[in-house]
Amino acid sequence: MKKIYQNEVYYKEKELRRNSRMIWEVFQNTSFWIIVVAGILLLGVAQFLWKFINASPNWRSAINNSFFIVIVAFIGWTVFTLIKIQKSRIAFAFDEDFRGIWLNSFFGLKMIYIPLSMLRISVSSETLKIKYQKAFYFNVQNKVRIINGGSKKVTTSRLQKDQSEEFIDRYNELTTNDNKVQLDEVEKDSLKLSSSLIGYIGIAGLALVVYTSPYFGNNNQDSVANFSLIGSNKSTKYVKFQNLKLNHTYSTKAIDFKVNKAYKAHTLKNKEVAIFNVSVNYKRSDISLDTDPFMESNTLSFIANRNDELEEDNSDRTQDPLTSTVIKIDGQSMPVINQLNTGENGYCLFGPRDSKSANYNIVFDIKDTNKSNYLIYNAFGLYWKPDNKNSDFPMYVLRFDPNRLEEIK
Amino acid sequence: MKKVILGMLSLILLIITLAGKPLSASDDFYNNHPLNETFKDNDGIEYKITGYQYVKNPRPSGNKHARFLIIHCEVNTNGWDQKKLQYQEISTSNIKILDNKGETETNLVGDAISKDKLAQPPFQNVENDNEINNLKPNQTYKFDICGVVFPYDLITLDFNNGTRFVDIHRPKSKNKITLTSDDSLATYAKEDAK
Repeated sequence: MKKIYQNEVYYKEKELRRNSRMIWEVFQNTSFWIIVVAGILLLGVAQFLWKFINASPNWRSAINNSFFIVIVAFIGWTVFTLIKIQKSRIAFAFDEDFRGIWLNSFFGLKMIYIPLSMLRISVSSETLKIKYQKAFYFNVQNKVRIINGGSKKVTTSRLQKDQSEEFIDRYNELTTNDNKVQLDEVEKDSLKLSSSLIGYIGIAGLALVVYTSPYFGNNNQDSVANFSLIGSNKSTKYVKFQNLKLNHTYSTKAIDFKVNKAYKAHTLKNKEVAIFNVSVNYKRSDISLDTDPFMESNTLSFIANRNDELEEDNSDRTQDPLTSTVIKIDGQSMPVINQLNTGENGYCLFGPRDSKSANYNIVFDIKDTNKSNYLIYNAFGLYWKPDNKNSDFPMYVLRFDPNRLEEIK
Repeated sequence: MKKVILGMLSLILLIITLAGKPLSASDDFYNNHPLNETFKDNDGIEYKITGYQYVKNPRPSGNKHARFLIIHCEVNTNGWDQKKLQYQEISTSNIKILDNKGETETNLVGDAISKDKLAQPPFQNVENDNEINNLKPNQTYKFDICGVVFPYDLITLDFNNGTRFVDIHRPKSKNKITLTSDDSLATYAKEDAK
């Protein structure tokens, strides 16, 4: 069992045709579709689960990230496979002493050896079906491994015609009468091809329907609603969508706040940040504020339903203000003073204790300078509808263009 | 030969001046700053703030720009009789450190510093139990309050739940975003940011 080929049959040399056919082969492979469908189903199940168990943002991002890795790995594997296929142009060949054949299998990743006694070739409607009881191959360590049974279909029109004819003649000489085959000259059966194509599209369609169905989480509906809300700037009693105006007083039940200045700057690590100098005046002390009410988002991350109930879509898209930022001014580093520190290791809590007003600098990382960003005064938790008596509202969603922010001097 | 020695000497001088400047500046920042602020709590016990000090080492574990701020306090029981004192206590929660007008983190153990380090200088006088009981007349009780702050922020002491406030540092700024060079922390800020 040496890798020495005789009567090799190559795939046709026409590059374009060959490549597209090869790619098509991947899509025709059942396991490819099993993986795709399984992936989509898993994603659906995960969505369904976290809707019900109300998974925390960290878990969500962990799940999202792992799916992303799986998808990238899958795409990588497909590309790798296609490259391998392109490299191995040989379809099949006899071995050294005509006791078996070498078959290019597993997307061109392996040449497998099939003894003639375990091989059965049949031809039907331009397809050569190579069926085997057992096959052998060399693994990476060059050791022989066994495959228990399998088959491979090869479209005869893809093969070099002379070579395949010669191969079949030789095969007929070597095999018993029962197993002899005849290459037929049937025209390409377009009807059959399209029926299999319809089948695959059907499976994919079904998977897509399952994925997008309300039962498996209504992500699609959310994003549609989001889009229309941004587009129409439709404000409700609880949420106000506005363009950010400097020195304009935004008023809620508990506070008045004013954005005095808005700058962009670069941090020591050359990250672009937006800095808002905000004055806050407390109107009512009996209303409890969230400890970190200011957020920033570069895509709108929540929706307001018709019944004024708010829903959180994906909190991963919003970000809390940065803590203890140092920016560069004329090449010198300068810490931002009076920064509103929130979240982990912020050490100090939001809220003026010594008077009714405070002045903060709120710093955000700008993730996408080419998109509209939103400074959000998140007056109440999005998990419940705000209570008219005890909650602060409205929430302000203030749109700004990062490119139009003044550079700090 | 002369040139080499001159060159080396000037290099050494340059290194000394470069290394010396920030050292003195940051030493100044970490020195004890005396204060003389007094206030009475609701029971009439007088608290005196004698000074404050930023801790150079150790630093809070979570954020490299944050520092421990220790406030040195004193309570004197001169003129009080034993009967009155047995119902009195010194409550450390009468003094709060505000960073940016927000109350600072007071539960330091674990998040900001380990329990072992909190028992060692300069934290040895930090009062963790919130109150001192069994007071005796004609005694001076000294204790420290410690909080984690960002020194460039507005740092204020809050006495007796908003009765009085004292600014420890009010940052000077033209653009309201960064310090101006005449602010006492400007030099330190540049050093620290490196």
